[in-house]
This record gives sequence, C-alpha cells and structure tokens, in this order.
Amino acid sequence: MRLAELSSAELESHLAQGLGLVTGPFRFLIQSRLPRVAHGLATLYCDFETGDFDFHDFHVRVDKPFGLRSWFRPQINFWLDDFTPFIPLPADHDMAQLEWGMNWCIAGHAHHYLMLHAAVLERNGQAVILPGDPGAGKSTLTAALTLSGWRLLSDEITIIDRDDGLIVPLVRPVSLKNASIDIIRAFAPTAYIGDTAKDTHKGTVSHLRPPIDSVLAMNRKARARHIVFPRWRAGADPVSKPHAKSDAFLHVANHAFNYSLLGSLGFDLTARLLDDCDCQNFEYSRLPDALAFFEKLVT
Amino acid sequence: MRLAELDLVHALIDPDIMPGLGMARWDLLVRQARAAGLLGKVGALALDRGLAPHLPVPVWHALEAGLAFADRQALAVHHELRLLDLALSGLGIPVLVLKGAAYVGSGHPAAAGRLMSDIDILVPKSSLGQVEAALMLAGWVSTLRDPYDQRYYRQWMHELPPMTHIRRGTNLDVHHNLLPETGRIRTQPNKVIEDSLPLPGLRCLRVPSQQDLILHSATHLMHEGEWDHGLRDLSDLYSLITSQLGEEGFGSALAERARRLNLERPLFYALIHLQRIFGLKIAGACVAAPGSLIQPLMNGLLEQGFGSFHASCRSPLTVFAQFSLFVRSHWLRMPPHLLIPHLLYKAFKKEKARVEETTAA
Amino acid sequence: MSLPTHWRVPAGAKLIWRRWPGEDEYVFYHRATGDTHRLSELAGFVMEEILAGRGDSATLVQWLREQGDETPETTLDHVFASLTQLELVEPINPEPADATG
Repeated sequence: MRLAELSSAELESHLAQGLGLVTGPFRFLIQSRLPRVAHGLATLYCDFETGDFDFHDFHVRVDKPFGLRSWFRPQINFWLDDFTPFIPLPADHDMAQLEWGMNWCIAGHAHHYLMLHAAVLERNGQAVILPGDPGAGKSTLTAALTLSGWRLLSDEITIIDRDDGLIVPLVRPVSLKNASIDIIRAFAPTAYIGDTAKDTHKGTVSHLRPPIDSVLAMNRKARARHIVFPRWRAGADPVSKPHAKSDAFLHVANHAFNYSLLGSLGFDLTARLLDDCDCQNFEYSRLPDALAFFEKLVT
Repeated sequence: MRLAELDLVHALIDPDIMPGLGMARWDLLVRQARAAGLLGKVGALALDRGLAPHLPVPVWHALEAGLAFADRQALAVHHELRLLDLALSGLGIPVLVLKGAAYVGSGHPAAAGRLMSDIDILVPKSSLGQVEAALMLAGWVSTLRDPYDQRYYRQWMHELPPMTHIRRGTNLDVHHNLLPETGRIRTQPNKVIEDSLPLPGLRCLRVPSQQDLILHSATHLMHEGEWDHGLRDLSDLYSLITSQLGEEGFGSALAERARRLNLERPLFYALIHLQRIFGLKIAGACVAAPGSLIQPLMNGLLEQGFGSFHASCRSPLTVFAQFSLFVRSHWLRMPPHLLIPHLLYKAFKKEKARVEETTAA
Repeated sequence: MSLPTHWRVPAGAKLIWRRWPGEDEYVFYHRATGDTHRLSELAGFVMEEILAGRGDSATLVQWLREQGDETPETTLDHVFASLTQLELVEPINPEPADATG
C-alpha cells in the first residue's frame, strides 16, 4: 500500500513502533516519535510503498537523544540500530537528518552495488549521470529536470548493479540547498517543497517531493549513456565540451562511495560505465538553456 | 536472549541451517551480525557451502556487502605484511604476526570474512629498539603524543605504543609479550617464537603454531578490555579449534602447551564459554579450574560481556558487567596500587576532552 | 647513468588496465595494492610493452630515439622511476646465458 493511504493517526502509530518504507532496492524500518517526522514522511513520501515487512535492510530511528538538553534546546539524532555516527542536531533538522542518515546507511553498507556520488536521471531510455561537484548547481538542475518530464533515479547516490552494470533507481525526495529552494519554487510553483531546516552544515536545506511517475517506476533499471559535468557560472552562455574518459574515470572513482572497497570489481564496473557513456562538461547560467541541452542530448 | 540460542551462533556452528531461516529471523540475524562484526564471516560460510543461491536476495546482498569489506581488508593486510617484511628482514630476527593478520597471512580458515583494524606483531624484547628504529625508517610513527600514555605503554605494557604508517594510515601494534609483564599471569613469549612457522613468500615474518594461535586468542579474549567484539573473538577461537579437532590427541596436547606457557586460566575460561555458547567440547582438554567461588561470577560476567554488542542481547546487568570486565582487564594487567591512579587519570582526561569539545563547538 | 636492462611487472601485481579510443591516457589498477593510476601515453605504452614481455630498456630507448626524443635515456629513467614508485614495475637483470627476456 502507499503511505498516503494511512491516516495521520495510523502513520504516527506505525512510526512509533517502526514504519516500513520501500525506497529503490532498500526497505527501511523507520522509527520516530517526532510529529514533524511523521508530517515530513506523509508529505514527501506519500506515494511510496509501505507495509509490514519481515526483513528490512536498515532499522533506523530519528528521535530526541537521551539527556537533559532535550527540554532546554530541543535536539534530535539518527541511529542505525544502536549506533549513531552523527552528533545531535537542532530539532528542526529532523527530516534533513533522516535523509542524510538514510544516505549514510546506503553508502556505507550497500556494497552489492557500486555507488557514485552523483545524481542520475533518465529520458528516452538513456540515463544521464551528473557527478556532484560543489558549485555545479547539481541540486537545482536535478530538481528542474525532474520537474520537466525526466525520470528521477537518484539525486545523490547513483547505484550500479554489479551483476548487469545497470543503474538501479533510488528514488527519494530531492534535496535542495540555499538558493536552489527559491529558484525551484519559482520554476515550478505547484511542486511540493517541504519544510526548511536553517543553519545546517550545508546551509538552508529543504526537500522536493519526487513526481509520482518516478516513484512508481522505482523498479525499472536503466542503462547509463551520458556523464555530464555541469558547471554553473553567472552570465555564461551554454557551452559543452568533450571530457576525456580517462579523466572522467579518475573523477568518478575518487568521488565514489565504495570504488576502492570493491577492488578490481570497482575498476571493472567503472570501466564498463565509461565504455557505455560519452562524457562532457557543460557550462551554463540559465535553467532553460540547461534543459534544452539535456533534451537534445537524449534525442 | 541467551547467546547460545541465537540464530547467529547456530549459523556459525552449522551454516547449513541458513536456507531454512525465514525473513524475520534473518532480519535479526543480519543486525546482530553487523553489530558483532560477523557479517562477513556469515557471508564467507554461506559462500563456502554454496548457499548463496538459496538465500533471499536482500539477505545475500547484506552478507555479500560484509564479505566485500572483509575481502578488501584481507588484500590490504597481505600488502601490509609484504611491506613489513621488507622493512624488518634486514634485522635478522624472527617477527611473529599475531591474531587476524596471522590468519590472513597463513590462509587459515579463521580468516574468511574476518574484519580487523590493526596488525599485531611479536618480537623478542631485546630487539625492540632496532625494530622500532627500522619501522620508523620505513614510515611508521608512534601515535601517542601524551607522555603519560607513552610511559604507560613502555613501562607497564607488553607492547610499544600503537604505530601508524605515515603514508598508508595503517595501524601496527608491536608486542614483546603476550601479556603485560606487570600482570598477575606471566608467560614466556620466547617459547612461542621457538615453535613458530614461516609465512609463505616472506623472509622474516612468521606465525605462531596452531596451538599457540589458539592460546593467544584465548588469552587475548579474557584479558583485553575490548568487549564490543567479544563474540567475534570467541568465534575466531571456535574456528581455530574446530579446524584442529580432527588431529589425534589435540585436546591433551593443547592443555599441556597451556601448562608450559602458564596460560591455563585463560584457556579454561575460553573453553567454558565455547562450550556454553557454541556447544563445543574438546576431548582430553583437562585444565585446572580456578577457585570455585570465582567461577560462577566470572562466567556470568563474561557471558554478559559477550552479549554487549547488540541491544537484543543486553540486559541491565550488561553495563555493570562491561565495566567490571574492563576493570578486571586492567586489574590483570597492573598491580592494584598502579591501577587506580591510571583509571582515575583516564577518566579525568575523557571528561576534560568532552568539556573542550563543547566549548569549541 | 645506466638503466637496468630489463623490466617486469612485480609478482602478485596482477594489473588490469584500460585506454579508450581516441585518447592518450591509460588507467591501471594494481590488484595487490588496490591503487588506481592514470598514466600518460608514454608511461602507458611502456607498461604495454612490459606486459607483452618486451620490457628491455635498449629497445625502448631506440624506439624513443626514432620518435624524435634526443635524450631517450633520461626520459625513460623518469618514466621507470615513477612506475617503480607506483609498484607497477621492477627491474630484472637476466644472466647473459639466460636472456629469455
């Protein structure tokens, strides 16, 4: 069943004991007694599958940490089972922390896959990978593409199956930072953007609800065909240039979550990815130019 | 939950039960294995028995991930051992590799899927100075800055302060004994060195004999303060022993060797727990039991300590047990009059560090 | 200066590598160290020769000279120094009676 089919009372009650949630190939069991988390899940994950599963890949919890501080200045933390790699954060960072926490679980443990730090979207049967360099405007681009008919596969972690080299969708809310939030609000006024968390280590953070089509297509893998290194520069005209594959290889490997851990398998999977894809740099300043470029790429 | 009843433990004893476990039981097993550092080991056992195709896909993926981690570490250990061998072979002294790195280096079944963080070596005490110098020349540096900690190690412990390689970031512990010399139980490392075996392809690095690997594992388990991987270490010992059970007279030979090395007490406790948790019995291994009053208390403490790795295995007693065991470990290492100042100082330092952290934030 | 006469990949290195059509550079993976390296066209070419069993310095020097390099020994010395440091190659000096290369 979809999360939207639960009443808010049911959702809160499930969440207190443990709410099963499917995202891509993973099943999370999420536990929380925080009303804001219930609200965040209800609004950002309304189209996602929930259920009473026997097996979950990750048991996670977002809650107040134990201690006196919780009434003085409310805080929350994230746990995978008993363990937390994070320090407690202000209570209004709860959804951001849940998202980072879920990413940490996946990136740190899902070694059946090669995992890259990149966004990936699909159109016309071709997946385009956007490696996540800072200042690239990746989150704005990803959100804009998602809202322009592109299928969102992932906004942060690109997952490649070791058995067939295909991209496995990991659909989740798209994280938006700082200026992107207003840009996307202006770009698509009817799109749902969740509450903002201010003063996080990444600045102001919010999340865009992924389109229902992307969520429903969560089980459809895709073949990567393009790697694009975007660069936003004020006032720039749209320009694309080829990017050497050997250089792209090193970049991808250095920014992957588990390239090194997978050893020669990591090398093989990355090499096959570069075999399949053409690589380019793309510089831009205006969103419509960028959208046109990507559209042309897959036509 | 009693440890002996865990699916995790049953799977370690008899991997063939794995295909019969339902998803709900796997859910708990995977979490416990991950917390105990045993996910890779369970994966290795499943792979070895050809069970992967018979396991649910998400379960196999989790095990495979644990195995990927362990395999990568094994690669790093092999490489590290080669470089260590290069650094030390000019000294003409035997260098024994201990514990996890010994299992990996010698291709022992206990190595499969095992996680490790340090490499431990044992050298003759008289050669410590040359060894430290050769290591520093090859890029290893001492990690302890605090003069108190440096003194603690050099004066009272059976090892140099931990070293790290400046370029590779790998950790190395250099021991000159199996147990601290200030401890209540004294053993003779030279006997272990005498009985050691060469490692294939390496010049000066060696490993302890099978018996001595077992005794060291039992000793380490009972004397060190690290309880988060108590069950993992116990399962190491289980693998080490079961790989030798076919040998005739194994039990009595092991007991005899323990007597010669004065390690009967740790072997005794280890065997008790292997029996209670893993159901392992070794014929002929008659080891002198410590005074009857100590025994039930120690057994209770140790069992609680072993279960500390995951909430599902803990009881309110566990925290107390962990602390008691930690105190016991240090108690075995240092005479009481030295112990209390050390613990107090350590506690104070941690508190001070926490205060500094919060003011900086 | 004298270059070692022959070179090989160290035992246990087990290298895998790639070079894409139309590009100069190579990527190499060293299975024992777990390291990945990006090599220049020349360094990659030298590695290909060594992997094919043609790792003798004299031939490589001659080839470089034919490509227009006026100081081929110096060039090769630098290349081999880097490759040695990356543990991709090691020198061998075969006995005169056993020059199987």
